[in-house]
Amino acid sequence: MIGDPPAYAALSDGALMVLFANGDPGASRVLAARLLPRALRHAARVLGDRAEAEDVAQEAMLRLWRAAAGWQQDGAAQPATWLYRVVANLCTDRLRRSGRTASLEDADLARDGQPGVEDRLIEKGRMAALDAALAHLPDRQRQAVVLRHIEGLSNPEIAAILDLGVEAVESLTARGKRALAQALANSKEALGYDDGP
Amino acid sequence: MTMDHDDDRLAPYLAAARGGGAVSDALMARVLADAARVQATQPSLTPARPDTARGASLLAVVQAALGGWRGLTGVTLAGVTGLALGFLAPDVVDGLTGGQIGVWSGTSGALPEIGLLWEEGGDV
Repeated sequence: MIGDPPAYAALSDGALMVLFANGDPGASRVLAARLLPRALRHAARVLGDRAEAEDVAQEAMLRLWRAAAGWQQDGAAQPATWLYRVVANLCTDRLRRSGRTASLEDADLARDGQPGVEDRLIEKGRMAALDAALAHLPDRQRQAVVLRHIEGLSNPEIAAILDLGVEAVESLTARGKRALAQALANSKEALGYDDGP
Repeated sequence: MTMDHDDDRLAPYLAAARGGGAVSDALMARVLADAARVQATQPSLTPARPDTARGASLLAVVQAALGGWRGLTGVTLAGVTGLALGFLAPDVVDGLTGGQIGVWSGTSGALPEIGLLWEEGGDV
């Protein structure tokens, strides 16, 4: 279990990066506990594959560690934003290299809450359906939707991550959400699946 | 209207996705092992040692004690300014101190003359 001592808990991610650069091993544990789940969730939704998402998340974290030596604590970049950007680029590279869209494989990411079997099946079904619907979106749209509606980032943050203007992000997320809703509706009709009220 | 409908339709799916992201122990272990390896192999990420342990010069030690080049420069500048004022404009300094420096350094000043310490009673 990863502890998060009060001394570390009060520190920003940027301050922890500086501590890490100074050789503090505790800083890496706290940073990993804070940032790794977000990187993994982002990669899993964009790639739709748990194993690939883990590889991407690990690679992104490795790049974060390597970047620590030159990290400017008072700079504009936040470690989380920086990491999302690396994850986005790594996912895009993988999708381009493989020439595929995201797989429909169940990412099976919902174990930590230990819900009941029925709830888990419903949740897994929803995740699989969401992954399938996301796979229909163009890469940029998919990234924007995941960052906005799953990771909960602001449009300016997403603009910095995807290297776009804020208005372009607003347009991407709006179109993406509309397309996602349509794709989910179509898949439910095709499967005769009723998601309930 | 359409957006509200989309929101309602998407809400359970997005909520399920937000609950994801549980990191396995194996992945966390790999990531922390990477971190330890980077800290061990990059010289700039190892804990800083005091320069004196490596036989650093006196200037480097003083510089470090004063807070780097800025501190050292500030102290040096203050010293040079004080010397320049003392040599080039002693009247100004005397005026600023109300003429007390001359009094303190004279025979009736606040400090005893050091010569008295070894001339007392004619003995040395």
